[in-house]
Amino acid sequence: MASALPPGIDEATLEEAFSRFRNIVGNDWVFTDLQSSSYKDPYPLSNDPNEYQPSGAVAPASVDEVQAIVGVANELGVPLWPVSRGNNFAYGGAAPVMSGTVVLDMNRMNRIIEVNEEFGYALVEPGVSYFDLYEYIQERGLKLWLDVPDPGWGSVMGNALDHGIGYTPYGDHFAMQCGMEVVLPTGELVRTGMGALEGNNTWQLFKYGYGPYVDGIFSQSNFGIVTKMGIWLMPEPPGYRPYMISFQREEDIEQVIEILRPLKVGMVIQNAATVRSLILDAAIHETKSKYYSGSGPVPPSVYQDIMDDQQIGMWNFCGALYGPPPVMDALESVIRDAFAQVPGSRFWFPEERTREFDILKHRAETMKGIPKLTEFNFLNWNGGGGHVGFSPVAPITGKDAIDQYNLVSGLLREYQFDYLGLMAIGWRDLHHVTVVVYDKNDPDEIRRMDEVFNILVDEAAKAGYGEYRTHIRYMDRIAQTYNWNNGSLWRMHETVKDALDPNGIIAPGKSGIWPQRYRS
Amino acid sequence: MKRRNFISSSLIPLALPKLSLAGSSSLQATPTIKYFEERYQKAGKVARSWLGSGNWQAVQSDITPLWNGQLKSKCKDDSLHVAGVTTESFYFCLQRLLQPTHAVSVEITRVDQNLYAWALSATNKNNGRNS
Repeated sequence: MASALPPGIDEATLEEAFSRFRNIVGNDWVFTDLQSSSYKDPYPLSNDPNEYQPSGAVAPASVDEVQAIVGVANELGVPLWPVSRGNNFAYGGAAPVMSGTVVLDMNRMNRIIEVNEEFGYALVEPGVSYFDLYEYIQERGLKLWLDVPDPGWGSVMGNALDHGIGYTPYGDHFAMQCGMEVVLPTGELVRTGMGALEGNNTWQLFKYGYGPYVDGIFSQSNFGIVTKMGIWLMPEPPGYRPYMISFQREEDIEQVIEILRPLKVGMVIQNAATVRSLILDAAIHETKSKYYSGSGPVPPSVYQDIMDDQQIGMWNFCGALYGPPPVMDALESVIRDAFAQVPGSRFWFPEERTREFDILKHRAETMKGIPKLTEFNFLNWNGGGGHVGFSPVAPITGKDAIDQYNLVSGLLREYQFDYLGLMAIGWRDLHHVTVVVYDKNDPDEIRRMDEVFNILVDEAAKAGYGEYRTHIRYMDRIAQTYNWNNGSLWRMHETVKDALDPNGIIAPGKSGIWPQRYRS
Repeated sequence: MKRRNFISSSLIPLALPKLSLAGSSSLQATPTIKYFEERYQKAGKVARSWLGSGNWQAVQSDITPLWNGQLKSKCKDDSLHVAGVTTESFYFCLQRLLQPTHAVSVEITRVDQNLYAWALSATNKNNGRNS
């Protein structure tokens, strides 16, 4: 028996849908008892148990099965929430925005269809994780590197579609995507770019094909179900040299970002580098109680103890050099000289680190594309394990960095949370990702978390900052901040949604995009 | 009283996960592997008082090396019965790593601010994943 009904769908209709889904995928792959399942958000941000509850899940193993499921959903009006592996934790996991939506779990579609060493790409299905692809490459001795986000169990496709980032020069994952296969909400199958040309040999080599470039409308959207995707992989470089530069003072972030911008834009800094805050780095290998036994955020008087214990700074810039040794030597020299301007800064290589469990040793693996789960250690910082990401985008300027830091850390401190933030440096932008950890079993912490998150969204928007990605709970709110010309972009999204998905069955509410049947 | 203080002060005696719960047949098996978080003395003490002194493996939060080096291959075609007194991320990640291929049952008791005692049983779904 399903635990939640989608709006406008009665129990008999939903039961009929599940029955027909069973005929498509088999009894073992339809799930309706979800009380303790992985389809729920493991880090809820609401104390209302009726919110964000799927009515069930169906797990197809092939494109044909996806199309058949979509056919039933259209016929009966049952909404589906596609997930690749459902591990988009801190953003809702596999849970849908609208209770009663059936999770379309693509985890079983996990074929690595092709890995091409010569051109450096892979063609994968949604269920392929970074662990899977890494193992495939290692087993075959291919000279290719992945770019991984912090959680190695995530879907290669899902992360790219949600605009995830990593830490090598290929760190902008959606930029490295090339060619998709998509089941449209009507059930029709399309291939994008060169994939539309029968017999082509460039689907994963040239993104744009001919005519409008449409791949972007299938990212962070509910316009279709992506069933195959090409992703470019980095050729193994002839040399690799990870490093970290630590900075001692909170206010250093302003100067650090000013130094970073020309180095990044000029490609002296090669990778998708990050500058991380003291507590975020400290939380990877220790818990708060080691340093502070009081309640609320760690007070500034404790910062130096943490820095000394973990050989880190208030801010820590992790980067890496890639290429022939003479090239790395030249780049290293420029980077060292540039950051030496910051009083108290220190340049580290992994071999200089004395702790067994050390932040640079860990990141040295991540920056060469080794998938891990180490980053989840920060869940232990406070106990209670909940976390959510607040991720506004800013220009790469010192003023924006310090303004954002002051805004976010100040509000979090007011609400009794620690600031665990990172500034990820993109091609021209700075993603300021703050992970807020809270006790997921404490209704009061959840309430405070929710309250401060809403304030953060609003205050950031007032200052001109918008989030690039968010938890299911805040999708509507953040969509409403993208309101130039009276929200014309989201009206366009709705027009596209209604045209492609006239019955409104795919992921209602994803990214604040609602089909006509639910808009009223 | 703050909830965390309440948790800390109300843990003796702990209601540790029972391994033969009525109606929870998946947790009846004796754990074949047991982990404790070596950074906390309390973890070792709770572990020994709960399931005896033998055969505990020391860990430090991150499950990645264990998963890649031992657990992934061990549970590929088999069931897995494990227990631990660890931080949250350890059992959370283990549970999530197993869920795509196994039916997972887990019982968890919070020991203090940092530690959890847990028992996990995972039965292979013979899931028909493509390969």
